[in-house]
Amino acid sequence: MKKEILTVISNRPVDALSKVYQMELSGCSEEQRPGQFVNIELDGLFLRRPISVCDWKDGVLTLLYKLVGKGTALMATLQPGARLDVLCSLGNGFDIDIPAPAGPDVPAFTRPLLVGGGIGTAPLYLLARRLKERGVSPTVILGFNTASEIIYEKEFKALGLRTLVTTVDGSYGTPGFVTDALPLLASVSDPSSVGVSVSNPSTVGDSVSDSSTVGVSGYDYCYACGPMPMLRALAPKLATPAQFSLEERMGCGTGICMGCTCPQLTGTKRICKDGPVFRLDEISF
Amino acid sequence: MDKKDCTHDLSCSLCGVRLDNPVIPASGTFGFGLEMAEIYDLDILGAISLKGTTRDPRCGNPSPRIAECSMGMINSVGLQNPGVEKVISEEIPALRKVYSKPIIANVSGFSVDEYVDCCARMDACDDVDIVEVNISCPNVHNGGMAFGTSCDAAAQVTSAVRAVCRKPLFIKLSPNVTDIVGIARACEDAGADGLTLINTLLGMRIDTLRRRPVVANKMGGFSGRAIFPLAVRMVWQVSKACSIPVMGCGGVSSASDVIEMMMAGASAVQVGAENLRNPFACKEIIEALPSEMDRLGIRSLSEIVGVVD
Repeated sequence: MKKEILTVISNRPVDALSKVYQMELSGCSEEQRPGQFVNIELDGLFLRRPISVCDWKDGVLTLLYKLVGKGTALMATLQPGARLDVLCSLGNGFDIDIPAPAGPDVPAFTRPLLVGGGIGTAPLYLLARRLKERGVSPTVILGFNTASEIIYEKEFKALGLRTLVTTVDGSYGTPGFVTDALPLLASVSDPSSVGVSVSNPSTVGDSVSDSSTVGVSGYDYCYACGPMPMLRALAPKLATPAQFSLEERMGCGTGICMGCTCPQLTGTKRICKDGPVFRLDEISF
Repeated sequence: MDKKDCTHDLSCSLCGVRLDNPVIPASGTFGFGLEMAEIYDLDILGAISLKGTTRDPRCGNPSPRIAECSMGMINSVGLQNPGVEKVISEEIPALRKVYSKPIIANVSGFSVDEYVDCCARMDACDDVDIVEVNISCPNVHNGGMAFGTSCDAAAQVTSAVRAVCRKPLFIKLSPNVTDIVGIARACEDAGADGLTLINTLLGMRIDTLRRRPVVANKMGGFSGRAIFPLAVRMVWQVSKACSIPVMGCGGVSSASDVIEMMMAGASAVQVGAENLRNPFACKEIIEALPSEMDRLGIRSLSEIVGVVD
C-alpha cells in the first residue's frame, strides 16, 4: 500500500450517454498490478471509495467507475487538475505467474480466457496488456445488459485480442450471458456465422494451431471479474482452473477492520487484503 | 535526544504502564497490528489495543457489514476473531517481532465464564500489559453490550474477571445507556483499575431504493468523527465521578481532539474509525501533537488530564 496525492488528468463518460466514467490520474509512482485496487478519499464522505485499477502506465492510473451512489456521483464532478488522496497498490491482484504442472519452464497456459461482466470489465484491461507483453493472447468475453452499456470493446480489440460481446437483451453481439459465448470459443471455424464480433481473423486462426494445453474448450485458463450471479453461473461451466475477482462493501480496504470478510472454502477471507482475487477452487458460492 | 523530546513531554501512565505518548489505536480498527507494520513503525505508538478476542474463534456477522454515514460509519463485524489460543500463540508473538511497546488485550464474551477464561489466558500471557474487557459490543446477541447496560451485570463481569487478572484491568463501556456514571462506578467498585469509553453507538441505515437495512445484521455500531462530542461528554462525566484512569475513545481524528479528550479527563486516548479512512491517522496525530501543544502552551500532556471542571 502506498498513499499518494494524484492529479486528475481527465474525467468523463466513456460514451455520451454512459453511466460509466473513465478517469485518468497522474502521479501514481508505484506500478499497479492487474486486479489491484485503489481507495480514494472524497470530500464530504467518511469512508474512501475502492475502485479497481483499469490501467497503469508510466505513473498514469486509469480507472473506470459506474455511477451507482454518492461516492461515484462525487467522483464524476471532479475536474482536471483536482488533487486526490489515494491509497494505491491495494489487494493481491491477478496471479499470472502460475506454476505449470509440467514444470517451471512450461507456461501454465497459452490461451487464457478473460471474462468480464459490466464494470467488472475494468481490471481485465491491464491484465490483458500484461499477458500480451508476455506473448500470450487471451480471448476476451465481455457481458452487458444492453448495447448502450458496452465498455472497452474497442480497447480490447485494439490490443489485437479476439473479443466477444454478449448482451442480455440481444441488442449487440451474442444474445444472453457470458456463459452463452463459451461454446463459441471451441467453434472457431466460422465465427461470422454466429454473429460473433471478432477483432481480427488472424487471432482466431492462431487458436486453431495452439499448443495441446488448449483442449476442445478453446482456452486453458480463465480470469473473471463481474457480479456474483455471473461468477456463480460461470464457475460450473468452466473447463479449466480460474481466478475470480470478488467484490464486497469495504470499510478500510487495508485488511484491518474485517468489514469485507466472507467465508471461503479455505477459511474466512478478507476481500480487500486476502483478495480481491481468489482461485476458483477456494471460493464458496 | 533531540530538542523536541526535551520541550514536549508526551508521556503518560496507565496504572503503572508507561506510554511514550497517549495515542492508542482502538480495538477493532487496527487488527493485530501486522498489516499496519507494513506501512509505518509501530513503535511510535503509545500502545496498541488488539482486535477483540473471544475464548472460541468467531467468524462474525454476514455481509455487508459496513454502512457509510455523515461524518462516520456503521459496522456490524460481530467480533470476528481467531479465538484466544491462536491470538496468544500466533498473533501476539508475530506483533512482538515488529513492536516493542505496550500491548492491550481486548477481551469479549457471551457469558461470565467465557470472559473469565479469556481474561485468565490473557493475564498469563507475558506480552500483554493491560487487559481491556469489552462489555459494550453492540453487534452480537446475548452477550457483549448486554453486560455493559446494567450496573449489576457490569459489576458481575468486572468482579469475576478481577479475580483471575493480576494485570491492570480496564472495562470498556457502552454509550448505549441512560446513566454512564452509574455503570462506571459499578465497575470501579467491583475492582476495575481503569475504564475505556466509549464503544460504538447502536445505529442503523436503510437502503431506501431496496427498502431494507444497509448492513445484513440490520443494526450496527456507529463510530467516527460524529460521535466525538458524545465521547467527550461521557469521559468528562465519568472521570469526574470516578477515581480510576480513563482511556478516552470515540471520534478522535486529530491532535486537537486528543488534547480535548485529555482535558475532559482521559489519561490516554484511543483512535478508532479514523484508522479505517486514513491508515496513517495515529502516526499523523502523534507527529502533530508537539505543534498543537505549542499552540496551546502545553509542555506536558499529563498536566492537562481532567483540567476542565
